[in-house]
Amino acid sequence: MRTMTRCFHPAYCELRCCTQARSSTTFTQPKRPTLKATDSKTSFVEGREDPKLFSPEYVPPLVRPEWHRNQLKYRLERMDCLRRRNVVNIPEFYPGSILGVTVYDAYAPGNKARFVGRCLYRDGFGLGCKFMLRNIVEGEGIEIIYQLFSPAILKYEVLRLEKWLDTDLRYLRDADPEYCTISFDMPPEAPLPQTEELPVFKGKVKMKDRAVWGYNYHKAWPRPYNAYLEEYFVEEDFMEQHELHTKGGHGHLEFDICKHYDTRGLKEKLMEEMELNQKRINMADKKS
Amino acid sequence: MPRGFAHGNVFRKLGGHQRRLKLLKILVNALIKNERIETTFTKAHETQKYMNRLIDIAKQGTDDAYTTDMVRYWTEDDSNKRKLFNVLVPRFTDHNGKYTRIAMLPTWHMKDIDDYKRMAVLELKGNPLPPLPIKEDNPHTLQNVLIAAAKSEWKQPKNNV
Amino acid sequence: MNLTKNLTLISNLIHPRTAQKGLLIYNEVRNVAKLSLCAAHRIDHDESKSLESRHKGETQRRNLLFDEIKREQLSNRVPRIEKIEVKYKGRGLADDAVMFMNRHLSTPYHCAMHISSSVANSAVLAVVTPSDAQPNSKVTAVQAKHDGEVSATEAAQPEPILWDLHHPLQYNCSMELLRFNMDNKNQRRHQEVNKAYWRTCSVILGAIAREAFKENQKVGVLKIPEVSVENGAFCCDLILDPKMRGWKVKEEDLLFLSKVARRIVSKNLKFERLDVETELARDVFKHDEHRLHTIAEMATQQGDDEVISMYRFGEHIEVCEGPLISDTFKIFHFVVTALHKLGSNTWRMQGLSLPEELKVQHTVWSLLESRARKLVKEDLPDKVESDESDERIKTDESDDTKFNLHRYDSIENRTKIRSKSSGQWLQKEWAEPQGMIDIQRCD
Repeated sequence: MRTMTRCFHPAYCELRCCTQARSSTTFTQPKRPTLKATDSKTSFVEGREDPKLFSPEYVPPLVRPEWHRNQLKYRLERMDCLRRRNVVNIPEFYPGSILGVTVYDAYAPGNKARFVGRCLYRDGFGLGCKFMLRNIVEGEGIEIIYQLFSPAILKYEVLRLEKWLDTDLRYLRDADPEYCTISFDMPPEAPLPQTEELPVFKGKVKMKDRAVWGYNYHKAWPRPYNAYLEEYFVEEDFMEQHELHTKGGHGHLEFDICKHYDTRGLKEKLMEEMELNQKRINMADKKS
Repeated sequence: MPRGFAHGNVFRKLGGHQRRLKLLKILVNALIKNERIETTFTKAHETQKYMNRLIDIAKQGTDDAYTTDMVRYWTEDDSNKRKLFNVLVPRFTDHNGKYTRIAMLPTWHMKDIDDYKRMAVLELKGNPLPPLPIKEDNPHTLQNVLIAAAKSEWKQPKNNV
Repeated sequence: MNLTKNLTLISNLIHPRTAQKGLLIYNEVRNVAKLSLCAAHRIDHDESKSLESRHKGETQRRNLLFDEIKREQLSNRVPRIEKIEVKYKGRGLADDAVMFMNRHLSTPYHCAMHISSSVANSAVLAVVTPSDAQPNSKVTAVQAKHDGEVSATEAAQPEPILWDLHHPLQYNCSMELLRFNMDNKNQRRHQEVNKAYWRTCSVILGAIAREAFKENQKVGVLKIPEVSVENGAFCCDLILDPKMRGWKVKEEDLLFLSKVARRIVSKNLKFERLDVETELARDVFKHDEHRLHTIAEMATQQGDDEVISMYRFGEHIEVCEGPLISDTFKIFHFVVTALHKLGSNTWRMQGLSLPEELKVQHTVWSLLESRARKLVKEDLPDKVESDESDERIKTDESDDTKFNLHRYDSIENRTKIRSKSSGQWLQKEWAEPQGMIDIQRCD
């Protein structure tokens, strides 16, 4: 870096020109240094890697007993994911982001259909990965589940990149309609560069009147972070809920270390594997 | 193996979640303290998994939040915690995964109810206690010598190619 | 059998100790009596008739001579029965025993029979440590020769000697029995057992070579080289007829050789050891120049102490140093894996074998077998290979299809089988009559 800065320093440039002029009478234009956009891995923030190299759907599902894990199948499936990602640009998005998806549709004008909505959840491994978009069009809530690697999908646009504390936002069905009412003409906002950490949405969503809830939010369910349930539940309810969590529900899972699925060590391995896969694909393309 | 092991039910019930954890906690602590315990095979086999996992977690270091939480829950007193970090983790730095060993004992006949228990010994590897009389494999017999020689020949770099 | 039964019945009536003694003496006397019968019996052996031995008269002569020498030795050594003290060392204190056996008559196998049948059956070799200095014994004599001064101290702590299981004990001693699978701490014992097994198998290879080839082929066993177990195969150097120079060994030939091996092994032959003077050994192998050569070599190695060990199993007699295993009953797998050409007439036969206790899984066995096909080069100079290739090029023109071995008449060769997949005859030779049948069918 230090040498580069010295290169650009005007005094240094002048000096170089002078020396050249002295030696030869004709003026030669100094070469313009080509600046490369640095695309090393280090420029990505932890948790915001290149989606080609690491994406949540690459993490293999927890299967027990261990010898029922079909590692070969997982590897092949990841390879296929990467092949698809080389064809279609699948950007990074999280539950909570607003997406526009263009799908091939034989009966639509121009053989294309576009849908815009907020992603409610994202689930599945490998080619089976799917996500749900929700939008309210003319007062009617519409939810569509797309397969992430579906060949019918032509284009992904991330209109607003957002990340919420919860990973399953299906309670938005019973929330205020403003969160899921998105105009189809919404211009895409510039996403944060991958060198910066994405701020997580920690606010609370305002829920509808409790009488019109579609779901009966059971006390034993894990409590959502982004939903403002305090409006309708009293503190005793929460205490009861906590007790249910710890005793009747899944409270034991907190310390049941053998049932935890630790994927922290997997990330590096997966990224290495995907880099190798990318190289292999490139080699195969060159040959053909 | 627990019932339905091959169908995804890997863990034994042992009388409910909370009781199970309580029991396993006691056994894990006893194992850390004494390095070798004698229980029924069922409990020993269940404890083995948790002991291995606990050492795996402890290997990640003391400044990890998850590690501190889990170790605080799974060790009863300070001495066990210290032993885990200061004795066991350095002992198993080069090992991978399998830190314990189970040896079967003769079945225990409980005369009053006329029932049998399958007893077992669970121990940490590399313990200072006198070794268990476990049958070891014999590398010097004819067939093993032949196999070893074939292996070493196969591993040698092939110059002809 | 009846005799023994009667004897045991009688012995039950008398005092147990005397009864035991009586049984022992009976056993040994019976062995002696058997020896004299052996020669006549062996010649009329039914199984050996099927494969006609090439030098029938010669083998007969050798066997008779062998028996004669043995009888002579016995009569010289055992004018009357003397007792020796044998201390048996087992795995623990509880197994230890002290036995009073007959000198020059009872063998380690007899001792083992006193302990239990399982011990006797699983024993492969014995390790004998003379308990006091024996002036007549061979070992102390050798030690005295090496360094006379130290011999006194060495006599106090005599070295253990490997002893054949069917070789009579000669002095007071302590004895241990070796098996194929022992405690994994004594590696040396295992090595000795393995070596003995390997040696035995190569001796059997020599016997195969004598049985398998046709009468018009001259076959001689050049040498039985001692190769280490790590080579993966035991071997035996042959000298074949110059007519067979261009012989390309096929898979079926090897299969036939393996079948001959099985034929020998399945007879459960004992290995009888006989220590004779060099002159006598030369007399036995009068017509076999290669054996005479090896005898001379062994004699030079041993120096003045002119005792040479011969082994007999079935009707084969072989000069061989060092111990062999007790009998062929211990051998489970035995295959002849390769027949390589070393020089113009010299060939090397290789094989692979495992005892019954140490069976391996079939995949592992096939791996070991494929490795045993490679030429064992441990005791060969490096040049050999190039010579071999030259020779092969020269002699390739001669008739390759010649079948040099005895025709093996098995049912498989006589019955014609169609293959289930292709519907064709399994062998091409059977194809002609098949065509005729088809024509008949068409009519």
